[in-house]
Amino acid sequence: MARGKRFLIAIAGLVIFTGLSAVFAVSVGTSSVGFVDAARALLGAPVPSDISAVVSYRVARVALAAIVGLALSSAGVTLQALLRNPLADPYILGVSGGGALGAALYLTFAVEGFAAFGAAATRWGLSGLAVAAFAGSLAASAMVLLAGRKKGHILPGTLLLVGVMVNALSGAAVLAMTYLTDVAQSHQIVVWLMGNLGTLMLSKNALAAAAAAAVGLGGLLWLFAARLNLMSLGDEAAAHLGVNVGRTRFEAFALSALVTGLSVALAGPIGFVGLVVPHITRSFVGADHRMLFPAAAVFGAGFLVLADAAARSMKGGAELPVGIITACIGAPVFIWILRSRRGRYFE
Amino acid sequence: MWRNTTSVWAAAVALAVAAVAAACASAEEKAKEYRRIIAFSPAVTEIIYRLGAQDRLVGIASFSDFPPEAVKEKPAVGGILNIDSEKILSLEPDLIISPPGAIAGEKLPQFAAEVKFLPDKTLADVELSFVEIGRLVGKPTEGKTLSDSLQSAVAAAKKESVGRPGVAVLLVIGYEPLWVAGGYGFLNELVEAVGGTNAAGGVKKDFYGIDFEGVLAAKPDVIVDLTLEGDLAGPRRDAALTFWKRFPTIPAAANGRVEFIDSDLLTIPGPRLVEGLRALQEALGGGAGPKREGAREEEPNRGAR
Repeated sequence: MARGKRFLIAIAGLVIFTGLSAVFAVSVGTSSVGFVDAARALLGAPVPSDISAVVSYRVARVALAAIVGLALSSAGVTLQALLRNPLADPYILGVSGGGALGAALYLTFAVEGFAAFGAAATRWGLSGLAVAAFAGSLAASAMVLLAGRKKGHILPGTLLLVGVMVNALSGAAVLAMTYLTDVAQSHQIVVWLMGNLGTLMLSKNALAAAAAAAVGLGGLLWLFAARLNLMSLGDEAAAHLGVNVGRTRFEAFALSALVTGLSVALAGPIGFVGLVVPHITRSFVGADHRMLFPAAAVFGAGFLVLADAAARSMKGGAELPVGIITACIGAPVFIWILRSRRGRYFE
Repeated sequence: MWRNTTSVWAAAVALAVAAVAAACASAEEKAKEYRRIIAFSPAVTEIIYRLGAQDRLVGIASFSDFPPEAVKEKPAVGGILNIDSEKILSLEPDLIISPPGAIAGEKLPQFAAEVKFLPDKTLADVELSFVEIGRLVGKPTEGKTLSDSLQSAVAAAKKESVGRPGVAVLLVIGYEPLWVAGGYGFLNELVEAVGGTNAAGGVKKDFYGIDFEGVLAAKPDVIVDLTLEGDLAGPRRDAALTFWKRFPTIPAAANGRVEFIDSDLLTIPGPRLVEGLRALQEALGGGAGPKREGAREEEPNRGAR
């Protein structure tokens, strides 16, 4: 009972944090539109069309940040559990490398072959860049899952190393393209690699579809919580307790790859969220995955919303890639938690 | 006594004259000496061809694609990130002309006795580079003429735009993320010359990634898309138009005033800037005479296509 109460308090606190982050993020930006204007526009009061345009842009950005934060945190929780490795992050399965390769191919050859493909994607309210990155992510993770299987079994250690290798391989290909293409295109690749929520300007429908996909996939991962708890006792113990370890592992890996691929397609490889948010959340709600999943998803959403608000409110209107902010906030906060009383979870 | 003083003065003057003459002659001779030049930027290649000194050019930067004959005639020596050292050494250049930069500054002096770094960020830089390159390739008059023609085109544009209401212009050089021309450099100066104000001029950089909220707030009247080269029709144009149509509070988007100009005309700091300036004038609805109103009328249809 005490644990349930603690969970409820923690999740209520995190929901309030994320809600306040969203309100704050909608109220700040480079233009003069502030909290009052934003509130009026959102509550349906008549406001000039330029103000409502700014507010709806900010709302879309907040939504995108929340989607990506949720996706990365859910994937991070899953992979840290499956690999039993505190350093695991969503990109460990080669997803970021594959996504980067897809994006780099698209950016390098956009002028020639991919132009029609990009235009078709735009007509559908999507982006050729996002589609290419998503395809690259999925191809890479499929490769990792296939190559990481031995005699029908997925071995976490093998999978981890195959993932690192696939990332290295695609990293080399991306570097080669960055090096050989012209300055403008290589610059675009480098900027994409930093992770940025302002890269795509998704239509409302595309955003809604992305939100549905992220929440749906996050929810599916939550269904694995009890099995992941048992698997943390070791494969054999989990199997004795009725868990189909191989199948669980394959399905959870595949779902994490999908949800990470989605976030890479939407915003490039934003670092740190998927690594640090699960750890910070664990220090508050404990290691039970049934609680950890929703708590990390909510906190991840709020964390990225807040980081993105900082990224797009830089003085003068030049936008900073959000990946820089997540690392700058995430690293010191994480070290502080490690050294505080809550750090006992990592010992 | 005064005779002595006079003769000393006379001698001094004669010496000075001789020294200046010698210096001029040596500068002239030195210029003539450069017969194996490498143009390490697309702009330098264009300038040398425009001056008619291409016989002195032995190599060009890999991303030079104008004039077309340059690509056919001259070997490429790589770019700033991937300098083809062996190629450069084999060409035995006596002069490399390049924009300044940390990597160029470190690497290029290994390859040639003379390396000339010519800044190309502002209009004044560009005009000076025409004169300097003219001098270096032994065509000082032509260099000066080229510089004057850019100067007078800019002056004429300024004169024409006097009294016309200012138009807020956004110069887009890339999407995903949105990358624009900022408030520093020749592109910004050209926009001001044709009577526009740079909607993204708040950040004093030549190019930067802008937060989209800034675009919504700046409400540009005209968006000039500089992301296409050569062929301005095709799917990428359609994609750009579809993108902007989603933001009807931006006047340029609402009124179908998204204009496309060949990016090479306005992003390469070379002689084609004069053409770019004219294209910019037309895009802003000035300088095209009677066509102007008609062009404006047609805009919405063009946007919808």
